[in-house]
Amino acid sequence: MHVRVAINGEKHEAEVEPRLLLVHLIRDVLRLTGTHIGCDTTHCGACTVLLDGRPVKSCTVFAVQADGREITTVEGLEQDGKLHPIQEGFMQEHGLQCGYCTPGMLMTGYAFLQKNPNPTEEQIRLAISGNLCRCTGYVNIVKAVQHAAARLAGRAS
Amino acid sequence: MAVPRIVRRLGVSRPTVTACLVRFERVGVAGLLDRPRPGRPRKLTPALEGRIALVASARPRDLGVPRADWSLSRLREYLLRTGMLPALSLESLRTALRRGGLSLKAARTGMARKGTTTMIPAAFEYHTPTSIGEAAALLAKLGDDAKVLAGGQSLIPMMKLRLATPRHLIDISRISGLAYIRESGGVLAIGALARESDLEESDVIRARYPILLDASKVIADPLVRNLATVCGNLAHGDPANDHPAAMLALGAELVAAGSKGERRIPAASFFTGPFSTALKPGEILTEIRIPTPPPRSGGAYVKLERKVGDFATAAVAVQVTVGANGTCERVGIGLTNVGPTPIKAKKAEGFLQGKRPDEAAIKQAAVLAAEESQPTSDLRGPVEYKRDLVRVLTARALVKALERAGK
Ligand SMILES: Cc1cc2nc3c(=O)[nH]c(=O)nc-3n(C[C@H](O)[C@H](O)[C@H](O)COP(=O)(O)OP(=O)(O)OC[C@H]3O[C@@H](n4cnc5c(N)ncnc54)[C@H](O)[C@@H]3O)c2cc1C
Ligand code: FES
Ligand code: FES
Repeated sequence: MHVRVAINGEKHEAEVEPRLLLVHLIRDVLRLTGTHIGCDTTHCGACTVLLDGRPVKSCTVFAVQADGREITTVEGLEQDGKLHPIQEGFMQEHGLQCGYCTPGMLMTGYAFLQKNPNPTEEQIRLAISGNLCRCTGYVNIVKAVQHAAARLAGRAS
Repeated sequence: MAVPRIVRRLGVSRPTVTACLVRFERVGVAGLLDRPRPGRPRKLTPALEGRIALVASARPRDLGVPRADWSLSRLREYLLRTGMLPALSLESLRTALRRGGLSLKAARTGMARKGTTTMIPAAFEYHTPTSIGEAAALLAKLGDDAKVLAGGQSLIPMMKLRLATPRHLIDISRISGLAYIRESGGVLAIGALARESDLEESDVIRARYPILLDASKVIADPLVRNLATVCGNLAHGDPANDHPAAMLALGAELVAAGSKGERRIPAASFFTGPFSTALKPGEILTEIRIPTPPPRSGGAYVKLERKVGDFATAAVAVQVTVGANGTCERVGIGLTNVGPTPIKAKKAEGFLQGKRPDEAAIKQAAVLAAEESQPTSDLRGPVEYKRDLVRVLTARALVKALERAGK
């Protein structure tokens, strides 16, 4: 089947089998390998991308379901060579160890801050509850999101 | 092995096999164990042979056995150690495998666990109808080989593990006008494509249906909730799903559309068995209809889970309306994951009806609800624990619902 998607603002087309998962379209067909695969049971969130602006697990969506839609992956966060504040936050606050969960955390954090620019710690924790960090670095991940929230609000942190 | 083949081989119903496989996927081998039965060890029944086949088809590492492959003696040791089989000679194990069409080599590369390709679902044809009528006609034409795809958050995980292998998927998500949540004429209507996240963000739900907000918030995780539909949560028929109990408590009605027209099914007769519902082949669940609660109504959903995204160890849904004289005018109580279907706790409801919901009455209703639950032992706990949990959660849900009713 033919699918057309806009990924990070750029139009792509591909001929795919209906059973191809969105994450495989992104990684194997379009070679955007920033999106990770961490499990085969829809539990880890390493594969999180934005589908029409909402964070979803791209391992549990067929590529054909995304036909005609907009997708944002971790590669789309940086603009004009400048990291997005959420990326800055992860760097500044040591929000990653091995980095496996990071693309998913970034996408969830990014979408969450757009909807909720001034979150409490509890709201952040609930928002990332579908993203597992096997290094269990949650404390710094929460700090990283807080850092980004402050930066986006124009506050220094 | 495909589910239809297992069904034929074991001579049990399709829902039983699917339920078994899903429990296996969720909680491991413990999910397959029947409650221990007294008496002499049995011979190898088809059901026991089925268990052997399931274990043999799994990768040893996935079951906590630190080996890449099964050998006959390793397999036997595992089956005995976990108590899956009472006694078993190597010879009968070999025979059982042969009868199940499994050589050990075939067993290692079994359908559900093919090397690193476990994530790839079986091939299917993809259909994108643009109206309910078109979708129903497709379903009628394609019959058993076809499945509705809504949010995909239950179906796709099952397809990835090859626990479901539909030949055709009918994606209803391109049908416009089905994502509504609206209240009018004394009814709250939830359309087939309303997602869990829509429910969480809806002002109507927040203001008047706290029971649904409670339930939504504890379903899966925020990422899954961005796709999972409320109707899919019911249509899937999983006794572990959270919305069914809430719909029982609320006295919801479900609208089913088929190629021959529409009918309404009360929630109380919708859930017919594990992974089976009153939907007939070819029918699509198009809408949930919930009577708008009168003044002095309140509801709550209380769930115990081991971690975010886990299915309930047990959960209880309560919806009450308190009359002007302070007695219970209407009570609905639903129980999650403590039986083969979600359970409507009729005795507890009947007991409270017309009574003043004081501490003693709440206590007694909670005891009755616990008696009505039918839990089984699994990794989430033994029967006694779960039953007592139903008692505790029922009391908590009642208190919270009554508080919200402004008793
Ligand atoms: C990690 C994880 C954790 C989860 N935890 C929970 C939890 O704690 N509690 C809980 O309740 N759920 C949980 N779920 C299940 C999730 O909520 C499901 O997505 C939801 O139950 C099904 O909705 P769906 O739209 O995704 O359905 P789909 O996956 O698209 O479909 C599920 C089944 O229902 C059928 N179906 C769907 N819609 C219709 C319709 N309108 N008419 C007829 N048939 C239909 C499909 O054919 C299929 O058989 C979890 C899922 C995941 C992946
Ligand atoms: S890869 Fe683990 S949830 Fe998608
Ligand atoms: S940093 Fe290693 S998994 Fe999160």
